[in-house]
Amino acid sequence: GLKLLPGSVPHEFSSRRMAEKFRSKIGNSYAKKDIEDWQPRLKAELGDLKRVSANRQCFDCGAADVTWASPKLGTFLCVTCSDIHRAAGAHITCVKNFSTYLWSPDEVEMMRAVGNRRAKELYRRGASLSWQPQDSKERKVKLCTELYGSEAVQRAVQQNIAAATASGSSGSSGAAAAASAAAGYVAGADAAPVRKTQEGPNWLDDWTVPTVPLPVPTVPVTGDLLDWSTRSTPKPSPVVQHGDRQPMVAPASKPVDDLLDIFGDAPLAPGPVPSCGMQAEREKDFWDSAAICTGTSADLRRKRMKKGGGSVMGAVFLGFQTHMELERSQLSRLNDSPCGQRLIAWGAGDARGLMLLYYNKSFFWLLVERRGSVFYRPLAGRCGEGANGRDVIRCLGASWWQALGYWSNGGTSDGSDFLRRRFQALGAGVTFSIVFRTQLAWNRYWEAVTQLHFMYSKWADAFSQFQAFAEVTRKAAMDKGDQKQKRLKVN
Amino acid sequence: MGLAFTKIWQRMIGKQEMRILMVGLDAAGKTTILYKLKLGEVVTTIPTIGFNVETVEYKNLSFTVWDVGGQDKIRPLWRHYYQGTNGLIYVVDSNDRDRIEDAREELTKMLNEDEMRDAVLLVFANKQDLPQAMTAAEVTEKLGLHNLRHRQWFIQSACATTGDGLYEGLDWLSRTLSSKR
Repeated sequence: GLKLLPGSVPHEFSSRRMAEKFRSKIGNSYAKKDIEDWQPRLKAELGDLKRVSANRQCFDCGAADVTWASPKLGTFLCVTCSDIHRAAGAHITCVKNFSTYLWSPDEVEMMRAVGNRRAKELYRRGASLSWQPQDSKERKVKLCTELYGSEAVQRAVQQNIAAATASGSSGSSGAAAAASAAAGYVAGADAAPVRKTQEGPNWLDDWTVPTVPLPVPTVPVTGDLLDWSTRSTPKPSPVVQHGDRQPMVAPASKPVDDLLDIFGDAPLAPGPVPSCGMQAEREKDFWDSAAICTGTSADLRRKRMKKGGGSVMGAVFLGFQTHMELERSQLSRLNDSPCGQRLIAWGAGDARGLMLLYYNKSFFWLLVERRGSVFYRPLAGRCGEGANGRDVIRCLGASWWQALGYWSNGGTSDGSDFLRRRFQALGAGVTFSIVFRTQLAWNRYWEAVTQLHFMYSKWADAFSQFQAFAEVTRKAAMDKGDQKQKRLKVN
Repeated sequence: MGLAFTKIWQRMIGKQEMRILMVGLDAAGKTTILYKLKLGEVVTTIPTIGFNVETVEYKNLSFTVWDVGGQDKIRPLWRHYYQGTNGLIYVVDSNDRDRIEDAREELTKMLNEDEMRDAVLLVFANKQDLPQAMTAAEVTEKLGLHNLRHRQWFIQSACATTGDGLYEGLDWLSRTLSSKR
């Protein structure tokens, strides 16, 4: 038999994960698992660093937004300047934000050791800004390359990196804690409360770190308007806290495998185009949003759609319908859910076709479907006098038998006059279409039959003509004794 | 019935649709490439959280290009996009010598996935305009592309800000994907 050494199985099991390396942007390697485990503490330390007064403004342009940083230079930046730094190239500088990146102890140490205050002396000899916020991007990139690409700055950078590497990676998980303890922080690994160094609301903090619920900020945002994190209202934290933050409470180190972890708390980040996480979204969440859009019970719709084998036509219809619904009156409802926002972004974007993946239904049922059909929807939308969105929705929400009931009993229930008239119009339209089309088809059939008879007679005519011609020719040949024409006789 | 006709019709004159996944480490230039292809201009990008998707029409193909963010915490999400991918565009920052090793690891990990078995690979050695950028040959060697088996691949040096090399890459992609069908 096969012998397993005790303990070998867990080792095998975790070996791949253990083997994964994490390389910091200043060139040091760590085990990825360690880095993930250290995240809450490192992020907490970064949060404290961001509250130092010099670090509350972008180092380069002075905007009141420090959601990004350059771990190589040790400076805190705004999102706009992060773009400049990326354009300048990795040989000069590099950037990371505080939410979607993992940070390593040496990088945090670099941020602590340099920071915006010291960087001003190191890189700019005290000049207040690197460039003006209103400069063009080309100019900013040029200035960035000149400023940070200079030999003096790069030499200083290398020295700082060496120092940070020495203290950041000297030990293990304790290194950063030791470093911060030396600097006066109490960033204990086991939920030791961090000394409060903050005066104002903590609205710059990223959302992976739990924060106490604070009032909506009144600080003027002169930074990039695209930065959504400053606009979202702080959500109540599940942890009841009294003034102090407990950095280890939230499971922020959990490896992210679901988009929800990234998008969960914040609305969609506006980019150059609407970007969204629909593709990997949890199915249920998606259906619920779809239900908000179309007003159907999510379960019912899901059930229906799973029936068939995939009809493109149906998909198109649903896409069309969903889009129409969005254009109607329900945007405000959708805005309440992050998923709904994504759906809006999605419906509006170029990728609309990609949504059409799931609607499975036979063609016939699409015709009579009370919500999916395009046939009476335009009718319903237009013929109502003074109909508001609610009436339309109510009408569409009524089922067929209800509608027919209203129709036949003269419409005694609420809003039924409106409804009845609409279905009368529909009925009249359908009847007219049927009669008209049938008449047309009948006419065409008789026209075709006439043509056929005509053709038949023509063929008969041609045949008899040919026969007559052959007869005459043969006779003539016999009479004349023409050898050549006699062959006709043989044939 | 109508569906069948639609299919035949599309087959005859319509553009073939290809699903392309564009990935790479953060700050490699993926979003810049995408919008250079789509709009023909360099846009100011903010780092991609989530993804961008655009349809780029080229020759007889219609590429649906998914550009997924490359930041540490987002990389595990790449696998959600693997399914049904016809082609993979892997963008490498040729100027970033320190992290080319990371780029190789991520690429290897991805190509080993079963869902990516049939995907063709186009590598953009991006940022050729920067000083000390690695050449395409150097990137090929550092990524270990020559060791790839059962994989159609192509490397193209590119500069997203000027647009150099992007259409050459797409050219290869369209030729390879059309002949595959």
